[in-house]
Amino acid sequence: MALTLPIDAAAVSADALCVHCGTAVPEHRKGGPGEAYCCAGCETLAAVFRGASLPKGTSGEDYAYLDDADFRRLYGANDGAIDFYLEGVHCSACVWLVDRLPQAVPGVKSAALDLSRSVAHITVAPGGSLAEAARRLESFGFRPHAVKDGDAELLQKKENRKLLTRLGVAAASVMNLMLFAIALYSGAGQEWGVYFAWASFAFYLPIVFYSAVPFYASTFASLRARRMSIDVPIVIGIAVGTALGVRNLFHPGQIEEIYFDSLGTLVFLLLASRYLVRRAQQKSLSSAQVVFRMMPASCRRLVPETGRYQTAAVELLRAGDRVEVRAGETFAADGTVLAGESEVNTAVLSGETRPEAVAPGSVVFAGTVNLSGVLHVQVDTSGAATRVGRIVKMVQDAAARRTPIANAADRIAFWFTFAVLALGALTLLYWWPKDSSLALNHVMALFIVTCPCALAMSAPVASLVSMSRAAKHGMLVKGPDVFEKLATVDRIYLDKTGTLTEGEFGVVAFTVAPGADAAAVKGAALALERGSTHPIARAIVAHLMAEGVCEIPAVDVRETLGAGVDGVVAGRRYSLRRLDAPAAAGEVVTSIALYEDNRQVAVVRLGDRVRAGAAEAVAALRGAKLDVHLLSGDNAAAARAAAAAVGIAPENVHAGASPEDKLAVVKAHPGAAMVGDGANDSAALAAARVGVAVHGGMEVSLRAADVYFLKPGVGALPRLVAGARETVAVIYRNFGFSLVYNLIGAAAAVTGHMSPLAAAVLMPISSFTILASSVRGGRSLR
Amino acid sequence: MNVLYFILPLSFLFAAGCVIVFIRATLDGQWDDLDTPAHRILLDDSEPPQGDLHDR
Repeated sequence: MALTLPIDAAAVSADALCVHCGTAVPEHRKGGPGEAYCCAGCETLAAVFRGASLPKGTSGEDYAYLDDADFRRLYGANDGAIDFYLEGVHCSACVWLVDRLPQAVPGVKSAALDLSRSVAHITVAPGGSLAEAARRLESFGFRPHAVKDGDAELLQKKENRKLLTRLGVAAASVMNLMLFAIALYSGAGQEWGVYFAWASFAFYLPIVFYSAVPFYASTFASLRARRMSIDVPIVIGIAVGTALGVRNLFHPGQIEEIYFDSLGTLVFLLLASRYLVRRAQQKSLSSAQVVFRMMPASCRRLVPETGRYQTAAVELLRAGDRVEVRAGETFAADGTVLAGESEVNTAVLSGETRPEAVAPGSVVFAGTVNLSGVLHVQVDTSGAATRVGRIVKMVQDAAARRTPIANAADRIAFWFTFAVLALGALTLLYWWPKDSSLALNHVMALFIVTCPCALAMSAPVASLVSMSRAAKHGMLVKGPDVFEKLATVDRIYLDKTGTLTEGEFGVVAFTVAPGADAAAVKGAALALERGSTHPIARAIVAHLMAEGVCEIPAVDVRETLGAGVDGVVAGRRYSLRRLDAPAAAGEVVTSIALYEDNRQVAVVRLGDRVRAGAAEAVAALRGAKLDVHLLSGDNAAAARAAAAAVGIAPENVHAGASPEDKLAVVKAHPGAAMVGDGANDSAALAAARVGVAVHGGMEVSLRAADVYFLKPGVGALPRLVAGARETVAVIYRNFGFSLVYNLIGAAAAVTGHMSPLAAAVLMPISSFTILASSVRGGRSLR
Repeated sequence: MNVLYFILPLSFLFAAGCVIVFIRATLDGQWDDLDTPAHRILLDDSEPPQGDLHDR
């Protein structure tokens, strides 16, 4: 086409669309070289259409353990059916790819992807290989994780279906009820009136005996626990209304006043709002309900009979087993190094960014990462008994013990119910001696007009609206009560590594000595570090490549573990050595020196850089009258440097805190929120009033946290806090509306100025005002 | 108007039938996943053209 559109380059990069399917490209997939794809599915498909062959999976996992008989028994996959959680599924292209699995892999019977949960259900024929299917899924670009079909999930599904059935029955009945109600209100006459009234009653029965059962159950439960809940006045309303309606069925003079329609509508609306809240809540949960990935799924275990290493599922590891851990792999169990030398990244447990050297005899922990050499490890403890396993246990305990904060709606409902009941009794006492039927009418008008419908719906709806708006800004909020809790927070603890900082090595400064040729020195450094997998080397290579340094061919490159790299470039001998300089200088964690024929020609300083935007976020939080603290497992100097960089006062820095210490600090201040991402934060996240997990962190934090950020860093935090405060303000605004309306209505009903019919018309009007006010919501999240 | 005596119970039966169908669909898991079918409808039924998904 000859038509060209004037496209603003900046706008395109800010709002990039997937080359393959045209949907928006998420933040974490932007910025790469070449064309942007929204997900791995699109990228794979586009490549296949161009005739490229499928790439090999990148994780290096061979999934052989999936066909292990022990593993299949453990995962209930004896019949060849298993659920995989797939990383990175996103759009139609992904559905297409996964659904085509049976054609791509012989032996796979069926494959179906549930996009909302990112879970694929795969069935293989007897003798078919799950490992083959998993390998193919990974080559499509979706890393699979086997999911144990948890009872909890099944139960949740059943519960959802049951609630939906109740809702459907209520909806069908209410719609039919409406037909008769209109006929009755518009004056159906004597004969048809009685007939329609009985027909209404027939349609009302399923509502009162089936759909409304959850309200009775929760009322019963809360009365037994001597608590008041919003369901108590609802049930009283239903009971009184039903009794009065049935009474009037037999009094043809009052046949219009049978209330079945308004009561049915009430039950339907309440069920609908609860079902919606539940689904939204589960959706944000299931996106965060990622498989437990702190430990790898498999490891290479020594089979004593053959003397060879074979992959096995981590669950099958026992004390005394020997495993082989290659560079870049995560330890699967706590154990002792038998052979090999390497460096280990322990950030998961300690928050330390500096690698730790290990040798035969050293103790290594599950969840930490082997950085450079091959290690043979004897397993001491595995599974739940490992240090990481115990931390996970702490998380679960903290989450279970979290004191329930009575939410505002329940507190207000308590007083509201008492007030209405007392008023009702007084009305009855006052009117009964004059006219018993009139007295009942006035009481009924009172109960209908003060129906807590609006009260019960306003808080969940306002929170729901905020939840979905927050999700658009990349913040997944776990439940509707989170906003209320967040609005009362007065202190925020921020983790350092990975939260305020980028959490990985980066070059802070590359200083070339005066008199040396910068291009030659940098080229030599690039040549030497090119082949190494060490994180320091990778950071230096990334930095130099970004600078556009030309590589000079090197010969005789030799890497000595723990010492450095040597090589000959352009006839000169270069060597890289770690400097023993004190590491306390600001962000710098370690320094590397480059020697040319034993003369120092350059110094590279590496460290964990503070994220862009962190300082602005901290300033905004302080502006919101929050007490911002830094809570880090790293050493005091590093923590203080990061605090200074983002503007946290030195007296608010807590350094060198172990996961246990962090838990204690957070517990000591009950009104605090915790923001972190590592596994070392998860216990503290669960114990805090509100835990915020920042992207890039371990998935275990998501189980513990209330909020999960899709974008890395703390940049979205001020918006979340402002949004939470506005949500609560909206809820109170609604309570205000509701109170004014109820006061006027109740006064009219008690004094006999309002008929039940007028009350039934007014009730939905007030509900609508409050719903509209809730949906409008606050400004910050819009 | 007397036809109402016949039509009304009929409508009741009809509504009951709809509700039974709805309940069966619910128990079959029709509403468990509301996102994927919206994507699946876009896909062609036929085999992929030369979509050779095997390694070459």
